[in-house]
Amino acid sequence: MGRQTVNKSQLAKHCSVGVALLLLVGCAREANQPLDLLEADSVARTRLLTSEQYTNSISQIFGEDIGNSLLTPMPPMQRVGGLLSSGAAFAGVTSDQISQIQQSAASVAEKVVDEFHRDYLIPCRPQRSTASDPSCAEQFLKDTGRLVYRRPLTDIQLAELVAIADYATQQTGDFYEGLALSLEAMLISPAFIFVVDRAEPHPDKPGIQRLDSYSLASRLSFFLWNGPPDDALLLAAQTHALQSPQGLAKAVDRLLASSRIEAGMRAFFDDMLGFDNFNSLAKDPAVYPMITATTLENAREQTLRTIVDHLLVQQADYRDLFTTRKTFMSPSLAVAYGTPSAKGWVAHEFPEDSPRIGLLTHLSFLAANSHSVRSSPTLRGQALREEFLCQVVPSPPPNVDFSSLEEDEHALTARDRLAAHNSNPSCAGCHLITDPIGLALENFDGAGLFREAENGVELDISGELDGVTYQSIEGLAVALRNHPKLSACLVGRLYAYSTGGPLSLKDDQATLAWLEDRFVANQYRLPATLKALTLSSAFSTVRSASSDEDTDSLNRGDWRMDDAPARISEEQLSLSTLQRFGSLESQL
Amino acid sequence: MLHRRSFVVLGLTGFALLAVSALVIVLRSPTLNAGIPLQASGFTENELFERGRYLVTAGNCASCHTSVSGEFMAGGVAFKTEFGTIYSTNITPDPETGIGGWTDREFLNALRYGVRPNGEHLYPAFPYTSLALVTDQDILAMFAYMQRVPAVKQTPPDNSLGFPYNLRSLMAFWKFLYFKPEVYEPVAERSAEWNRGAYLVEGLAHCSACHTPRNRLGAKSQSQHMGGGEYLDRIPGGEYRHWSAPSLTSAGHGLDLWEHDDLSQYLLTGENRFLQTFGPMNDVILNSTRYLKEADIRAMATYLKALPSVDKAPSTPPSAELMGQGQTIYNLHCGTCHLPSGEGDTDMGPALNSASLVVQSDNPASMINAILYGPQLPDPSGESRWLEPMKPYQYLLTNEEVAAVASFIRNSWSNDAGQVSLAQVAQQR
Repeated sequence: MGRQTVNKSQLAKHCSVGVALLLLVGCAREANQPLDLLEADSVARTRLLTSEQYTNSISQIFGEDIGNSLLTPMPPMQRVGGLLSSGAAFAGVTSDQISQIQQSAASVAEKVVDEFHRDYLIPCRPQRSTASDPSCAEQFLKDTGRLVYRRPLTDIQLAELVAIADYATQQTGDFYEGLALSLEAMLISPAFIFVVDRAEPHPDKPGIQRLDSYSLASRLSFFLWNGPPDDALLLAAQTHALQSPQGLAKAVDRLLASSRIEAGMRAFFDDMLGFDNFNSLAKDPAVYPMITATTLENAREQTLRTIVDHLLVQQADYRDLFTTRKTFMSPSLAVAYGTPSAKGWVAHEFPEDSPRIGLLTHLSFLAANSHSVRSSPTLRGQALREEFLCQVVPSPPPNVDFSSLEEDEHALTARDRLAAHNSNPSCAGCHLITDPIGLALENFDGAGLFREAENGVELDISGELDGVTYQSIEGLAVALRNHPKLSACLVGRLYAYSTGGPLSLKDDQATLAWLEDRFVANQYRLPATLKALTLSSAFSTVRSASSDEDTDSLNRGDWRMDDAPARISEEQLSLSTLQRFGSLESQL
Repeated sequence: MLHRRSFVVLGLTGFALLAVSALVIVLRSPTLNAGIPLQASGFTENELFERGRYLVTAGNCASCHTSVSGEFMAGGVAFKTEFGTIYSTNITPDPETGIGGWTDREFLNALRYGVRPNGEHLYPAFPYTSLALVTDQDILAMFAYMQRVPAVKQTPPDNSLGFPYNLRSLMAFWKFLYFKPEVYEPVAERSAEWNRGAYLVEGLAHCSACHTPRNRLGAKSQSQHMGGGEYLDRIPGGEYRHWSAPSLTSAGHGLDLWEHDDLSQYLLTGENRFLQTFGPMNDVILNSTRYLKEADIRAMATYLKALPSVDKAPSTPPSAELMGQGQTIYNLHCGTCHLPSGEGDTDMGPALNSASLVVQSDNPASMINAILYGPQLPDPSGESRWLEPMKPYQYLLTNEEVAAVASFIRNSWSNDAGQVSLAQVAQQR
């Protein structure tokens, strides 16, 4: 809290104060070193596993067939600071949800011990399958528990689980049923369904807390893989290798080189782009007959494939995602895009004269941010600002009069319809920051299909994005690519996602500035930025959540210091009757 | 030759100043009439108390003498100035730590002459330069009220003033230069309402303490009376920053566009069609003016509306490029509530397009504070008229962005207040 980076200008200023030559020489050398985040921290949190993290955990520990057979029991998250994953830090579990988690745990446990899985998931065989075998039970529970709890079980935890297995075996007369009950208990434990950031005193920095090795391992793996630490990462935690710069760098390199990084980054961008909307997205088949559920599902996949290929495979500039014509195509999508396609997913590049340029012209963006029967420049403009620039577009005020926005029979285009916003001052404020952006995408209808005109009227797609005007879709794409807030938005979301909760503009300011510097220095490449982030002190050093001050509350009056003027009531000024007229005795 | 003559002149001038100072210190030893009681005529004890209560309220004594953690009128409120920090005194009738041992004459000497019963000079953080205008009868009534305030035994912290400001005796010289203790004399050519307003505004309410610029020694500028001042006060979080008090004169950047009713409404309720109170002005309206009689508020408005104009300071118009940058930021962060036209919305945010004293002020310090730290609402526990309080932009906007958006607002629509510089924003951050 309150610790900051030391940047070049600060160092230069510091140097100017000193007069000793030795000090000046020392400062000059320090100022020439690469800009680095010397001391920073992030909030230590407890967060609920997301649905995908739950499934990934089960799949990684017990196999994909078991993981994929489950309906995830985890509750939906509330989007906080633009990310569902940040909502996990504020999510609780109701009794109904606990019941669902228990049912899921029982189902997993049953599968793990069944005849198809027990031979390779349970490392030993009981002496008799009808009687308890504490030794075998302990071996299984100890190994599995380390993966489920993402840290070794304590002796007490292990003894309790073995006792449960033994007792249940005695009751059922079946060793595997006993083991299943013990596993079920493990899978409903808070140690599994919550990711807890445990802190320990930093040995080299008095008064500073850092994540313990196992918490650091979990933070790394859930960020980069969207799943729990594997055996190798837990081993690195066990040997405390993660607490050394070299050991941590080695582990990060391994995680980044793993194929699981794709799943991790897909999860991040799926969250950042609000693709959970696709779970309920539908288009009116009467208006858009060629848009099926498969089309929409493929649209989501197309964008994620494009992002993964661009950022991880090609290791290209993040900003170019908004101007690239390279993407992937499926047969279902090819119909909507009006382009020929081979069977399955294939790489595809739109021609130079195509209106399809960058993520904004993907079906995923255009269709998700439209109504079911028509396009919405407002929703598209809002999505662009909130998803890619991390700006907030306020909700309409509750007393807004929508009557002026009723269908105008003379309005032929969206630009005409939205003109009502400009004539109503209460609407104009917000729509000024959304509509001009969205109108530039009006060549795409509510499903994202290209059109030259609307109701026979040629479309005017000129517009303006924060001072940059354009006359074409490409102009908008370039304006967004070059927007000064684009990079800061991505690194802010990455930082929040990696640390499991919303960032603090106050306490994380220095970290975010540093991380953006790293992003720029790395030519806007994602892998190098992921590495810089995970190796930074902010990633592994923690502060308590209580120090994360809510600056918004400061202007509500609770800031007044003890020696500031008090608020005086009329009663105080009037004094009491007794004070006004002396003692009661004198009144009598 | 010329140099030698200059040295001689300088030496003589210095000697003369020292001599005058010594004379002033000796001759103006402030222990006048300490033993002669005042006479209150024509009032019952209860009437005197009620009159005193009202006058003490009009003087807003409680704001400065009651701290958040302290008892009513027990002092301890910190005032940070360019010269150091001064703590208000305990003015409850506690005989040891308050004014319980004071005579009414000693009370008058403090208010009118700025001296303690022991002859020490008071610092003008206590606004005796204004309170001197209050009549004997009114001071006696205030004293009668203060004698009934519950006594609290509490000694406020010691002042923390640097040398030479910690030498109270030097205040004699300051008073010689800048202070004339004169009771208010009604102006015959003016109406009774105007005179009542002048008495309240210039005397008890001591508006000029904040709204008149001061020189390096903390004295108010006579030529720029009520032309807008600057002082240190707290921002949310408790740190001190500069605040600008706007011009209350009839200048275009002052009260020119405010009607008499606008001014009365503002003083009585803390808001009108142009502005809602925030920041340090909350203490004035919520602790004082809202409790005053409407007739007195109207008298104050009458007087204020008649104040002669003080020209605004020269300003630099912003470039078209800066205005463009500012407009972009405004549309994104401000226009959704204050509206692109700046006309504001009854539920979302106040108007910025015209006659906002904060926007139009020569000195943008208070406006920058509102942007950076959010405007502290007048009654945080009560129901706000706004759907959402304005959030602080301290961590959302850079200095460059704050300067651009403030410049845009101050020079758009009917506003013509000049550019806000990076240095001005940096000073406030």
